[in-house]
Amino acid sequence: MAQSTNALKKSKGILGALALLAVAVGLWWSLLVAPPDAYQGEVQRIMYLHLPSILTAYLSYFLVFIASGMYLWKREPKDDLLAHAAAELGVLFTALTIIEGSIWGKPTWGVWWTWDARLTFTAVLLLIYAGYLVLRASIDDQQRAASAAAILGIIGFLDIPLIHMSVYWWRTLHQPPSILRPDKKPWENVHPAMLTALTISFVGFLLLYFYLLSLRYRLGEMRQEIKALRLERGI
Amino acid sequence: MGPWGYVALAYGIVWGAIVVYWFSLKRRYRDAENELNRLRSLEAAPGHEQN
Amino acid sequence: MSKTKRFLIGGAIILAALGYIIYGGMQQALVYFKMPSELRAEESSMKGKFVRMGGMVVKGSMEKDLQNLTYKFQITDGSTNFPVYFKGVPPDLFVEGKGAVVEGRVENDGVFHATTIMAKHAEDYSPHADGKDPSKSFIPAKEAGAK
Repeated sequence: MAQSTNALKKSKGILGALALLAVAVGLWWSLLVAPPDAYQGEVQRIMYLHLPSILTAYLSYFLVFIASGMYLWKREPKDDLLAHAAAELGVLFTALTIIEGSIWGKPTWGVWWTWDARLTFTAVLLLIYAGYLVLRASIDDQQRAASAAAILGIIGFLDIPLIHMSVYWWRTLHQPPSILRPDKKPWENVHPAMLTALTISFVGFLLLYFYLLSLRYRLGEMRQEIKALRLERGI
Repeated sequence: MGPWGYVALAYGIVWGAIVVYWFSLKRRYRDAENELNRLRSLEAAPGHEQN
Repeated sequence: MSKTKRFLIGGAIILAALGYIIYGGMQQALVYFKMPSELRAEESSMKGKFVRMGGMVVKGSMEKDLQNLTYKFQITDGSTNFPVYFKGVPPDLFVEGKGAVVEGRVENDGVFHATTIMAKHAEDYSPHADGKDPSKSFIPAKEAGAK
């Protein structure tokens, strides 16, 4: 057992080191190598944070969605632990997305925030999963907390297609997608040098995400073991 | 604020927040690890089964 | 118990915020701005009310007075040109021939008095200015297809 724990720790260390490397290369490309945009100028570099952040958040909520479904089906605590860990990281990356968008919005649109459909539904996404974390913490009975959270985790996911389609369905200030669209290749909208910076940055975010997720998941596991041991020993 | 000011603000806040989250996660992780080891050693002391 | 109470308060705040956004803001969000022709058609009922209008800034319509920071220009959706008056500092990306959303009121003079100008931009990113048409994505695909 000690050996497998060590191997796990080692693989986590490797993942962390890789994430750090990718993030460093991503920063170098984002800030120095990629050219400034002809219209937006240097401010466009915020895109190399904004897009990777929201995609990471989407991925995280997708994991919440799958793990919550698995939990409701099989009732295995490990699925609930994964959902909880992914929700926490999802909230972090959604909050970062909104902050980046805001800092980018001021010099490009002229406002920090506006209530168009895309921004509104993104704010709703943050509130839903912040509510998810509060809900979990407010119910003492672990199984009841897990079930209630799983239902919210699944329903909340429906907001993501709404966010994505909002720029097509309604008039918004936010522009349509540059990358996530079936009708065009990414390089038709984004210059190759910028696309490279975006890709490296995204890889960095992903590696970092899985590193943080593995730590957060193990934390949940340990907390559960602690609870069980305390109960067993009557502490 | 010039364009680089906005860029610096965004990159500063984002990477600052991620580092803060990472450190706090590590602290929570270490606390749980220590508590778990303490409980395990308590359990091992009476001298029955150990996995 | 006090822990539970704290979380209940937190939950209530989040629910209230969600409720506020969904029932209050959503209506506004779904019709985020009116097109110049729509606003012109509803002008009598909309007069003096806060409204957003979006469209392209008509080329050659801009009259800047940089001394007094006043801007006069027209916004078009292709069929109607709506005159706009603005005093203040617009965003850098606010230029003729590009998309903009203005917030303000239509006054008795039939001019849109804007309090805020927001510049809209397209989903293209390039270091080269050529070959880009920032206006093309202005109208949502659904409505563009319907026209």
